[in-house]
Amino acid sequence: MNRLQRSLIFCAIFLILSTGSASAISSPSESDQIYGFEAQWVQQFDAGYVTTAPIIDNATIFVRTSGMWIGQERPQVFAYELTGKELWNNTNLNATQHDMSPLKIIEAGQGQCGTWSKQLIIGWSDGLIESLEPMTGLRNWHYQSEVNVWGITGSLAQDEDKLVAPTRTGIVSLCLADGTLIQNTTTDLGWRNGVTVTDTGYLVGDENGTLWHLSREGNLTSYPLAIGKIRHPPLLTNGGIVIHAQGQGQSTIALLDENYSIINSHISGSSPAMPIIVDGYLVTGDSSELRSFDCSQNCSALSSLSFATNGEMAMGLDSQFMVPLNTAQGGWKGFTLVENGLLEHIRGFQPGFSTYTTAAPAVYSEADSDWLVLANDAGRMAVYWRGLNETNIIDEVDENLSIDNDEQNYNQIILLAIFSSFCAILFIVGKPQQGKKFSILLILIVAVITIPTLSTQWSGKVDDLSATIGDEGATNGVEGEWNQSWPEHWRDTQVLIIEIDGQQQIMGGYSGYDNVLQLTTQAASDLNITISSQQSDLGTYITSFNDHQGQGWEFFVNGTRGSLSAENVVIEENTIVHWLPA
Amino acid sequence: MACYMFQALGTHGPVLSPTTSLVLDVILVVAAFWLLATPSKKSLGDSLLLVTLVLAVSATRVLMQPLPNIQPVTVAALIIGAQLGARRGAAFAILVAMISNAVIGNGWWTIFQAIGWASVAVMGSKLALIVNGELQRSRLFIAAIASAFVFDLIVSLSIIDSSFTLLTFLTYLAHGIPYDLLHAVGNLTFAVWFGSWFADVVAEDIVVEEIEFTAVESIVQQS
Repeated sequence: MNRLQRSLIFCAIFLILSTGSASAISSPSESDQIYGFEAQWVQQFDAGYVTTAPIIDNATIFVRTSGMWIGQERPQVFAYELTGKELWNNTNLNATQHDMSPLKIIEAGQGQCGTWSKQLIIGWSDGLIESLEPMTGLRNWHYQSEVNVWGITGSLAQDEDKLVAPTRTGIVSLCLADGTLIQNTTTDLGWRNGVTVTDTGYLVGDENGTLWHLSREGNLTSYPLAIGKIRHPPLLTNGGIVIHAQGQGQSTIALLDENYSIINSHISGSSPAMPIIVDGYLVTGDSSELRSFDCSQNCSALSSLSFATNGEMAMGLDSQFMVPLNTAQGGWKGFTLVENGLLEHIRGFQPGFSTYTTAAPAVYSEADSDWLVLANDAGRMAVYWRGLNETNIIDEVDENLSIDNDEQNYNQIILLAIFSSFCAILFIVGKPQQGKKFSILLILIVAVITIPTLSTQWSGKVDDLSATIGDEGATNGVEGEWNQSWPEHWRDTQVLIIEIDGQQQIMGGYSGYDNVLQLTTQAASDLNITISSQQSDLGTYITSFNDHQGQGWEFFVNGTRGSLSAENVVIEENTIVHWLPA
Repeated sequence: MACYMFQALGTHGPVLSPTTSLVLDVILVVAAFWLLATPSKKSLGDSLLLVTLVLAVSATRVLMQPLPNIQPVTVAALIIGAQLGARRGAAFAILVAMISNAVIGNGWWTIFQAIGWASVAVMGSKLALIVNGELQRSRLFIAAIASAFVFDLIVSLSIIDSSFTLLTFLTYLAHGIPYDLLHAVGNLTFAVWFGSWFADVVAEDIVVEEIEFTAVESIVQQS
């Protein structure tokens, strides 16, 4: 064995040790400090996502999990002390849809319908509304609302002695003392359509883009806005009511006057987040950008930043509002509004792991410390703490780290230019071998950076070309277009076909499902078809229908072969999903 | 390219049952040891070197996994095939595929990756990349680029099932071309930066015992 070979053995040992270290680093770990906050503890939930913000009240953290449940697991609500000790948990065995209704704490009080103690309100996707005693999790009262595929998905509100809840099919108001039904009004189907309490009653939107007003006297009025689905509680501003509605591939930010007529609107990106009011300014988010508006009069657009957020935004600490980044990188970004409502990115919170993020953070301050709770779509919650005397240090760090995407791109270009110059210098000074070496390294770096993006565009071209040529062999018999034999009320809805043993099982009329897996799970349930699935790093894959596994299953969306796992293929309304044995 | 192509088309090949997976692993291990069981005597140092190479390259593959389709194994298989011969090159390829996939993710594709890298090792042994102990750098660079496409093509075969037509498969291959190119650029980079060094590391020392062993063997055969 020569010297080189001996050194190789040492290198190998080093590499193997490094591999272990790298694995440890890439594993979710929140041990790092983030902007003065120190990680205290981490909770990885066994199953599901966290898609709504945890809340902290009286030094207790409440958090809920969510998901499309097709196995044994079900959604849960947990209560923890700030130290990480679990106080209680509450599982809803009947909830199988996404539980996205934010948890709500109601302070103790009294009113015409009675007296109530402090309570935690949970709205479940199976339509159940529960009032729990926050410290013990014991149930005070409950109410079962109507279910149409799912039940409660939007935010609830308090109106003096009443709890107002947007049910799947309407609005109910309940006495906070004992859950007695006070009002129950039917509107149209809604999803994540939180309710807003106004001087005159309650406002809620629906999937058809209709805004509903229910007066306290029980008068219901509808206002069809025709700008898309309303999936957030309407916002009240000085200039009027703001709706950020989800349309086909875009969204509309609309300002309504007191008569619920649109007086101004802006077109924005797709899949809007829940808008919020920050320092009197409106902040909206969607898959393309974060925007600010001055809604003191007519909601004029002020500024925008490239960003992708589709969930909740919330006020954080240090006068920032925090926005989850819904990309594979994930994490949260802190922003402020400066100089007449202009957006400024302050800092990012990336707690040691990368995944899609839709829940807003929770913040909590007590005597001499601040708490920050971050939870993501991977069902992982990290709790951070900082002492208040460290605030000045944090502010210094913030200024240095205030960057935006443009700056990052600029830095990349600068680095590449420096690297290129270095290569050129090597050639000029008569070191062509070194020049070639560094040049090929430069090409590799550029390729690694650019090819993932180029590949997406390339795949689009390939798909177009493939469609032109006609991939008949693979798509024979695939339903990709409206079939006249189907019930007319399925038209322009989501339709699912599962072909088992050559027999098509078809169900349609669905609306609001965001991906193939969601639609498949629900439709299969309605068709009384059992599903087996498999989790992988690339998402959830269906492995069998009614125990028919065969050589696997594949799906087509509007006649096109599914390009990702069922969980990751986004569908719109008017979509036909067809499952076939591979 | 494999995992990216899978990602592109959402296809994963057959899902293996634990028994099938075990059988495939046994086949791969048996194949690797059969290839290693050469008639010539090898010193403990040689064996240790091969084990070290397998572990080092497996670890490198795991470390570089976040980089899309950058595959250090391909150039390593090429050079080991050229220096140590097709049998040990193929054994190296099989073991690296198995060990690294135990960390990265095992499945139907492992057998295709093992075949792919073994083919690259065989390719390395046939291309006269090392002549009179000297690495032919230009040939290595060309072989490094070509081996990316050979390996990716072989691994892509894992995806074929009864629903695939020729056009579907060609479409599938076309989707992966950007990542094939990335694999080729990565291979070229490894070859340029580490090719000579790695070829020296892998080079065998002819020890006295081996010379004696070979001489005795030839005498025994003649008699």
